[in-house]
Amino acid sequence: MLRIALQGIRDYYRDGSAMFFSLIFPIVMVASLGNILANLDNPDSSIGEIKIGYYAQAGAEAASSAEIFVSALGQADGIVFTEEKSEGAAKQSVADKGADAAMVFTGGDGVKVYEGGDDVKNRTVSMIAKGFARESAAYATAYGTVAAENPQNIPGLTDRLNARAADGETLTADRKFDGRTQSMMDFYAVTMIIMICFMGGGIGGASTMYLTKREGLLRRLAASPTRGGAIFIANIFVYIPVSIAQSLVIMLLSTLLFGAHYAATFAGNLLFFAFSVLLGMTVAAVCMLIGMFVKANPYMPFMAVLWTLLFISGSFNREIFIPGFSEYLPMNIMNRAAFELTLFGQSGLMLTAMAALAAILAATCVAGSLVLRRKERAL
Amino acid sequence: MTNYVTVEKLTKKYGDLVAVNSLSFTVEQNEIFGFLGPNGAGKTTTLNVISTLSDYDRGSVTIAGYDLAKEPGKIKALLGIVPQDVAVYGSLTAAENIALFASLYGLRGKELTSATDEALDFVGLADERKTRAGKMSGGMRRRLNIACGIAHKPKLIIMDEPTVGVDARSRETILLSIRKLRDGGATIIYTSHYMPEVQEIADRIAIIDKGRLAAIGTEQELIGYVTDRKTIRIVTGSGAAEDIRAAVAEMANLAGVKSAKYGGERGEIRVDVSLESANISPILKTLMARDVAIKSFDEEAPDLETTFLALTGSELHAGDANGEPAAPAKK
Repeated sequence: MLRIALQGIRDYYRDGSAMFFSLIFPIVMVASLGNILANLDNPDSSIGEIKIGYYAQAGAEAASSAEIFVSALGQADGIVFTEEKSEGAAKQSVADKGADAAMVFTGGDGVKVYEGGDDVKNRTVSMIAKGFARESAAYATAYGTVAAENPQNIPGLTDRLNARAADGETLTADRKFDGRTQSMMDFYAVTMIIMICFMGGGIGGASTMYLTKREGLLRRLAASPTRGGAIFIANIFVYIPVSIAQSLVIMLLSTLLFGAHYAATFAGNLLFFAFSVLLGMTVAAVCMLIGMFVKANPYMPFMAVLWTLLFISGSFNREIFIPGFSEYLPMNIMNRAAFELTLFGQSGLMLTAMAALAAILAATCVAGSLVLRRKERAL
Repeated sequence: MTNYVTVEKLTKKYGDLVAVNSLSFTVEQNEIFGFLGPNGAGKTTTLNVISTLSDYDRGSVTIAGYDLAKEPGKIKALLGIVPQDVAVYGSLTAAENIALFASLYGLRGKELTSATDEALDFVGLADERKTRAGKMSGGMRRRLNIACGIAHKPKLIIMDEPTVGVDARSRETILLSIRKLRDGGATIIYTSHYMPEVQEIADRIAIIDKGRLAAIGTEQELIGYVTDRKTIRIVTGSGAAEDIRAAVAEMANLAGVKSAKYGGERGEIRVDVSLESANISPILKTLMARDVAIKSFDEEAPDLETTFLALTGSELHAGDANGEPAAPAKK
């Protein structure tokens, strides 16, 4: 088995297309995305001071919302709140250009925004208002749930929510975790690795098994005394160095050239690296199994299917996220596991994902071995 | 001579299609056994079963005393496979390919190196040991394909059309190699679509058709099966090729004509006729009616090709050596 794997690795790395997928493609991706994302981290324009006229409609709830909101954000540099006497006065202040925007608190998480003529400031105020609405809704939901089920915990909950509100004051344009600032590259470097595990492993695995079959090598191997399971596993072993090379190239280049961050600790990075290698191998194994049954070169169809799945998984663009579907796609789950570790320092989902990947890999090996034992179907 | 391979009442179905139907034959130890049949006759299926690459529904296969159903592992260790497709890793060198496949049969260390060198010498590729298979010519790749199947010194070698697409010189080298393997003690099952090749090297030949054994024996024994026909060989002088083809097509429909074809190395017309209706005048008239000059004509005793046609009702391959299609045989 080891000999088949070693010769397979040698065969793979002498092939130009393999070198492309395991080295050149990752390098090109890091270089191009790195340059694009490095510019995205630079501000397009300066917002400057934002003047917001606000008014709380009648009722204690609206007044309370307005007070919490203004007291929290009013301390931030660059945002100046002015209380107006009515909704009409608030609107008028925008029309007179005394304020850049007006906000009217209607109670609970309700807030109306009247925009002025500056698009950049409009977007900023809109984001602030959406954030307020979301926080208020989350607060109300959490409070309502605890009040209904565990009223004795309400004091503790209030403390935690207050502490969270205090943290919120430190949020700036850059997200911070463990004392370091995260850039767009941090998000996309992780996404790139997940993507290349699926693309490289998937297309490479399927194509390898298809070509091994088409060129009669699988028949020749199966006719030898070597067991079917060993033949299948040996072909998966070919992807260990491939997966390692792909992940290493992206991790090292994105870190050294573009200052990307992964996990906060060495152990976390090691875990992420092991995860990416396991993911690449598992995807390769599953696609190898599929590749044993396809009758045409799977390169293009696999490329199309994988790109589509990656695209609609919400990994790259939340706008294409399909609720109730995208979150169950393997790409989405793997991305979430990776993000939880690298962005939030939580390894729980990643360990679960790795256990699932190991189980899938083992099951695929058993299935591949059974398929080779049934011979004709696969050969 | 002892039986090395015994196939008894072998039956293999694919759904409703019976690919091999109660087929029985034996292959003697240390012989080259030619295995012939038209397309779809069941020879590839039979070879797949013997190669342990395919299951079967009924019957039994015994190789070197081992029952295929019970001890496939022991049989695999005895086998050497030379598939029709060149099954080598294109990015590996000749020596690496041979060493890889030989190692699957347990060869290691010096034994493996020595077996690799011998196999390279055997097929005349000693000077190409470091050449990658993907950079070799078609003939060299064919020879490497053989080397990968024989390096571990198998007792039974199954060769499925090992000379397809090679030039005459490489073909001769390959056939010489196969004889040397037989002389070295191996038993060889050999299939080919090229009849003269089988005639040249096979000690015995089996012809199968529609999944059943049609005939088995030496070349002379097989020819003896056919006593009711002869072959008329006509050499044409001048005349347009399309006129000759039209005449040949007309001949095939004449009474008593079993088949007619045009082509071969000298552009001959070969017509198989039954002995009872051996009047050749109508045959010659089809040519004369189209102003095709006839240089000579003579009669031949049936050969293996005639025998094959008589037994199976079809040509061994779709066209002759020049790629000319044979005229359909009259039923």
